[in-house]
Amino acid sequence: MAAIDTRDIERQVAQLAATLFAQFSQTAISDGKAFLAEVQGDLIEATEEHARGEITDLEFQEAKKDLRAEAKMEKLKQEGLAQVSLDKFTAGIIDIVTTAALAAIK
Amino acid sequence: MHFNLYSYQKHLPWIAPIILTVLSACSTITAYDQYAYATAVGLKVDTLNLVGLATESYASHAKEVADLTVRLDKAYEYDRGRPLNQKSVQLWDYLLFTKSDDPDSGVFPRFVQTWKTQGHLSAGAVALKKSTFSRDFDRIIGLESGKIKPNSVN
Repeated sequence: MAAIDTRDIERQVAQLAATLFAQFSQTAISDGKAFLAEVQGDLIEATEEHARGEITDLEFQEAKKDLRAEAKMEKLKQEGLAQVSLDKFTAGIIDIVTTAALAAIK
Repeated sequence: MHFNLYSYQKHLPWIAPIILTVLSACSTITAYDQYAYATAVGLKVDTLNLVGLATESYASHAKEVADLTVRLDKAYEYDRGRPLNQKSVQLWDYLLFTKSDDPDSGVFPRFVQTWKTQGHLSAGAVALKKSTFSRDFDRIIGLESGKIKPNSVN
């Protein structure tokens, strides 16, 4: 049986980590920017409509609660996607090590 | 026990299966589920349709509200029954249930309560609610579609 190339495993794992976590942080940053823009737009709209008397006090209070709720839900979604990235990383390590082990057996 | 590179390579053939077994048991979140995804997409459409009716009297749409509430509860219970699915359940929780320590929670029941209290909503409030619900459902849908598809790694 040939020796397992541990240096190659380390290189592939490092590459996998760099790719996966860079993808995750890019997506999180762009989601965060989109979230801020949308919430800011809705808050301005709600405030202006309330000032013009087009929505009631209760509706305005509800709109503010909804926007705060969105921030908490966005955080939950990002936490979930971070877990997915971690699981992809784990699965990737299994794939790399298995491939290296099989190559050594040949 | 000290491992130099040689002993590391020597022991890897028997250590690797153990490591792989431990790693493969270390999933932190459940895999993608087509039914959960399709249900959330369908409920998004139904909820936005119902919200669009809120400029009319609550009494004339009370049955639709009750029907949709049951379907939302079913989707919640389905997701709650999936192992390692806490984040999706917490998203549904936030949408469907008002917690005493968090007045911002329960986006759907707060909407229904406002509709009941006022009898109907203004057009501006309906537009804002639609935009909020749309994004809230997109978060549930986005998390589901982001999960690892069965039989895929990347």
